[in-house]
Amino acid sequence: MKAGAKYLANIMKVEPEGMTLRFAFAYLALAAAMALAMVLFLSHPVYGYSPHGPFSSDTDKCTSCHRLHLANTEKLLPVSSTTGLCVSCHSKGQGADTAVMEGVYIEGLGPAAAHTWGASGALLLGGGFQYIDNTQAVTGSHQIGATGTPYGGNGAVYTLGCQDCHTPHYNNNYRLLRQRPGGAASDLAVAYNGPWTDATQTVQGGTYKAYTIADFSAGNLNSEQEYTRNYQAGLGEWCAQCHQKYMTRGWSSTDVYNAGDIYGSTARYRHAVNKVITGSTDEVNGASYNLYTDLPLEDVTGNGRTADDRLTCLTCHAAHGTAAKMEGSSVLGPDRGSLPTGADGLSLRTDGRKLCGECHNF
Amino acid sequence: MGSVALAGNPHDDFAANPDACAACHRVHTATAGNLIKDPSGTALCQTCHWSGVGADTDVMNGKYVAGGEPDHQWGDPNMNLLGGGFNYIQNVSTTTSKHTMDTPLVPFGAEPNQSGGATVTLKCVSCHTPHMDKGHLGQYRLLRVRPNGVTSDKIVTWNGPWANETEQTYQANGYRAYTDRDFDSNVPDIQRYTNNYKAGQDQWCAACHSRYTTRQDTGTYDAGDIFGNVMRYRHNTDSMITGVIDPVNGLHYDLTTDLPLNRPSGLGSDIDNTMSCLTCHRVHGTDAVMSTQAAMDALERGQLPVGSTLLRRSQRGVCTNCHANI
Repeated sequence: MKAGAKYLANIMKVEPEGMTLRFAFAYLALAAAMALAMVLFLSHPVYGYSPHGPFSSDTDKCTSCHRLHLANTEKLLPVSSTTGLCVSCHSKGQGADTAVMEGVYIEGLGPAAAHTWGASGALLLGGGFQYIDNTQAVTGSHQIGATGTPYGGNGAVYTLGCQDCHTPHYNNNYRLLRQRPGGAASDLAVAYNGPWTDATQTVQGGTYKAYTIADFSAGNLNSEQEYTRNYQAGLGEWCAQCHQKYMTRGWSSTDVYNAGDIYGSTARYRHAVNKVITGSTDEVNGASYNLYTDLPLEDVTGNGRTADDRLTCLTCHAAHGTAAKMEGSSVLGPDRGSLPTGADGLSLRTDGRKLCGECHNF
Repeated sequence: MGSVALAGNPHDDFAANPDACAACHRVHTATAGNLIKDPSGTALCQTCHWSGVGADTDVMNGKYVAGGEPDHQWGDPNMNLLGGGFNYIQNVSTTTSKHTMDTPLVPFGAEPNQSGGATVTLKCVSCHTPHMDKGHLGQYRLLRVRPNGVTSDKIVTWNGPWANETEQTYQANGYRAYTDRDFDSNVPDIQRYTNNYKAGQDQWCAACHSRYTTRQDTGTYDAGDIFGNVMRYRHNTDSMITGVIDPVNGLHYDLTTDLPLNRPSGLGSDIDNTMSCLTCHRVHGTDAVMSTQAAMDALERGQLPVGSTLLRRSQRGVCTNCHANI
């Protein structure tokens, strides 16, 4: 097969339409398409620097993603699939350090100044869509290309692509997250303890790397400062643009709904987010908490791990996907409602429900 | 190549310059049709428009040479021509791309597809008429009213013509109709060049580059790149850049630029200014430099050329001049 035909075949298959999250075959189809993508994108040219900006006035990077007269989409992209275009760099060995499909950091392909932002060969902090550490198949992920309703959502249906969460163009948000995801009416800032322009990010302390982590699922929960340094504020509100209900605790008469489980239409309660875990009192159950965790927290004041750090969505979940294994009672049964099938790892950072015990130490 | 030094303009005002006919024609000893004295139309044009031998506009060297014709002040001496040059820019920088003359080529974006369009052997007279069309006295730069065999008039209006060398200056800000500065190193005052264009440029260019005035085709086509026979989208032309919502992608744009725009109302730089082909591209040639990504990978550029594609600025400086906040 010619290189060009390979490339085309790949990008045409990354966004299958009409799939529903609740259909088990979605996993198989998606996995197959992505597997094909991994093989075929090897023909794509390798660019040794970031096309995301910020751009100089005489940048040459526009053409890495746009064609002015021969584009395939209304945003003047050369391919029919935005996700396919993203993956053409962000899969293993193509053109970016962050191989998000394989969930591994590969030093040397992205911007030179950022090479030390991750440990080469280590897991990506956000996990991977297809694999973790390029070896373990994911058990739960944000399913790119699948059409469905987000858990805890307001019923809106999305067909998720990379561009739904990330803007390819520079902004001040963490990880180029869109300022208005899910049709948000106002800008949402997601602050982080960056940006860093070069390897001096290490002044943030210790062996901290902005892009990579140790394998939480393997039990390496002993370096809390490495990850807390990354997040600062705004993540919970940002995720809630699709998962609207998850920012609130529920338990009010206005939050009665049918979650598709055996309990029908009833008030629902949820775990706190944006919550200080040390020296706090739970506003719902009145319990006093002085918790400790090695999982990532939001470092609100940017002063490293201190008592003002807060739990956020990414304390428990990786944004892209994980290989967390669900066994025993952590496998959701018929009472799971609209949540995914029992073996789905829900993008949790650890196997089973180990991460609950990581804070609560029961 | 013989040179012809003329006191008057051979393209117009023949009543005042009755000897001008002989500059180009021989009634009994012509070597080409239309009684042209030189067998090559291009060479005949170059006898004046090259090296300052008979015209202020040295289009081969891309330089304005004051002194060759009556309208000396319509350009700044020794400055770049607004349209660039075929061989050089400002007589110094070798062009990196140009409208190639005297070579059979298919224009990019030509119907019926990128590779199957009609072949054109470009000469000066493919675009310009040597005689001012009395029916269209306002036609910009003596552009042909019906280029490339189109069957309807392609009128290109501009904020001239001016009857004398001082009239054009009222357009303000030192505007010159024929020269510009180096957009790469010195993006100029927007009013200088926007004053020049008014309307019709895009439709005129589309006489050859027929697809480039539409945002999207009605069907698919193979542009010679790795994507094959698919729907193609293009950047808009002939559209305002300020206070507009893109009809294709729904984005709201409030852009500004120092690059030339069309000025339909003729009232100065305003929000009704529209971008055109000449906002990004020079007409004759450019010395813009493309490296690494801007040169585009061979698999992806299809039959587009390797090089600067007549862009006014190096790399993709023309993109960021409007889309600065991306």
